[in-house]
Amino acid sequence: MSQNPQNLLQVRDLKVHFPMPKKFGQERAVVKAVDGIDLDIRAGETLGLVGESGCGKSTLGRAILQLIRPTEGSVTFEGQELTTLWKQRFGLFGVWSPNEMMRRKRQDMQMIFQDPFSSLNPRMTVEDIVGEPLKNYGILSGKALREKVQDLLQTVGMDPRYIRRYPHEFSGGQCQRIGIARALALNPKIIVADEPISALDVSIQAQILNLLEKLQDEFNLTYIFIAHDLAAVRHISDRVAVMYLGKVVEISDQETIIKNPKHPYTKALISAIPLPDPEQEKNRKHIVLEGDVPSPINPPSGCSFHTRCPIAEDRCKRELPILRNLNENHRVSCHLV
Amino acid sequence: MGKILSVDDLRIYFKMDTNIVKAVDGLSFDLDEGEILGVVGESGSGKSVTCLGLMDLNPQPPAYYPSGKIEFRGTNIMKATKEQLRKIRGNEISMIFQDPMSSLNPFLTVETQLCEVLIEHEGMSSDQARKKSIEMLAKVGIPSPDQRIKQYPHQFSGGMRQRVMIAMALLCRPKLLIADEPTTALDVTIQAQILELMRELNREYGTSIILITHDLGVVAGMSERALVMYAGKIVERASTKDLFEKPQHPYTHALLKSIPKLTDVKGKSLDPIPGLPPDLSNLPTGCSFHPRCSRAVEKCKESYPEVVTLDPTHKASCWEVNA
Repeated sequence: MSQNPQNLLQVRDLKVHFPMPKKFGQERAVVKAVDGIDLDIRAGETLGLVGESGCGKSTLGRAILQLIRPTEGSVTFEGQELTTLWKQRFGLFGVWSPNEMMRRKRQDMQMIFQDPFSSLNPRMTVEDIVGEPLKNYGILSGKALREKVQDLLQTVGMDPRYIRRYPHEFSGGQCQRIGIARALALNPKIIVADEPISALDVSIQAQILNLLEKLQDEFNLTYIFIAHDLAAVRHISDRVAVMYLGKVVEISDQETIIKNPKHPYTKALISAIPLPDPEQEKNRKHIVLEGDVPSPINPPSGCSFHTRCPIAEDRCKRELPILRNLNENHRVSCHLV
Repeated sequence: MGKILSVDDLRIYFKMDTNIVKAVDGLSFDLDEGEILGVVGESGSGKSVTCLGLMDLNPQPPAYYPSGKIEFRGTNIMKATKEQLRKIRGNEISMIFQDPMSSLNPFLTVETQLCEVLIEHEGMSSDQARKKSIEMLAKVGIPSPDQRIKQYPHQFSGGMRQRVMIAMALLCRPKLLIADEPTTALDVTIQAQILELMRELNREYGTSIILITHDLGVVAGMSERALVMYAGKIVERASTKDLFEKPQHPYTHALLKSIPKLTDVKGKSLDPIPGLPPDLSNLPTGCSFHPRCSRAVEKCKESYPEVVTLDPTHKASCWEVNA
């Protein structure tokens, strides 16, 4: 596929494999967390990534930001290839770390984490936490820095007088707001939000979702929104990619994914979500999938979903389906669609 | 159908160093035989403390019960002796917890943990207990149960562990199953399996279930009646249908409006509930919801609202609701 100027970020055949400890007399096992993913992310859009735990959605998010070194494939951000921006320290067997160019690129790429408590340093004040990225890149210091931090707190809906406080003095929702302020500090172009609301109370989740939407309009942000809650993903995303065992099985705009899903896994996933409406719930037919997600160490042959698929045929066990276009913005990887 | 459980004016407080945390404050409800009752609330609303209270499992101190009566099939749990409680716990009332990993003993095989229940309560021999346990594991949908029973909890996945917990809870065919957020830690597809399993058990054995959750969708699909809790009190109780169609209490109303739905149109912003859940050791005066309530008036700050009965099954505690 060629470069499309509309795309802020392009991911091509991205793979992240984690080698497992070698056992005596056996081949070294490899966890294929992300196994060949193509994605295009357009400027200003929100791409939702959904899937069950262990499907590789967080690993994909981290690999896009180069927080994990991808095993294979390419990630292009504004025309710049990111996967080559690594250097190996201390010789051939040394540790891989990002080089100076990557460090500069990261100003434009930030992350919001799932657990609002463990992603903030308990020994740092709000001012230090939110101001650290600005200090790190030498953008602001002294009084200007403090003013900017106060500004940022106001933007995320917090009282700017809180800058002297520590994370333990805040609730989960407020901590998540601090995390968002930190991500915004460098005025990034793209933010990867890894399950930003799943650790929060139900009544707080809506506050954070609304805040993320407001900030997107205000700062012209592009989001990759990772979550297992399809209703929330649908609410915030323009397009949704459904992942299963390290691969994207279906991708389309959010309307199509919910109303007209094609892949049997997407169908099952949607049907499994309980609706907050007793009348509808009673008349709805649930597709209950059997068994668990198979281990990514030894994924099933052919289509990795065939072991749980209600419509699997012989062919699915042998041949690997490719992600093909149904129409311009709907892609599915299933033999039987 | 007779009542299996009736709770009257239950209060569970925790005495801390400097203050008292009123986790449950004046709770009353009944449960019929074979009924599934949904209990909805955010964290800190007192759902889990209530559950533990029903089996007298809250550590005392710091917990203490200023008032209340829990009657389970004619026995007052709060006055029961240790011996009586031992016979009820795990036998007639069972419980499933949210986190299946931390509620199974990692050092013991699943077999040891399952058989213990039967040997203890039913006086079975270990061979009989083993046979029964394998049957139960098969029942809850664990493949090759005679092999898996020899394994340790870490060899099971999250959904499988929750199945083991359910199997354990059901070994003695309890009359009442208390499920405290049984599917919160699980993925949606696994959640669907577990909920289906609970429905089946309810139909087959007539087990009454108290299902505690913060997911309104789960309640909608599972229970006939539901309670909504806020800051240790029941703010609304109704049939599930009424609760979703005509919620009366502003909190229920706001909660329903704040969750994203699959049927939403993109671009429509959500209506979040402003503010934070209250601090239980320092509750607001009057109605505890008034600082976050859009319909609050002066009166709400002064005194706690009485229960308004809309119809025999639908009750709400709010000054702004009229019968």
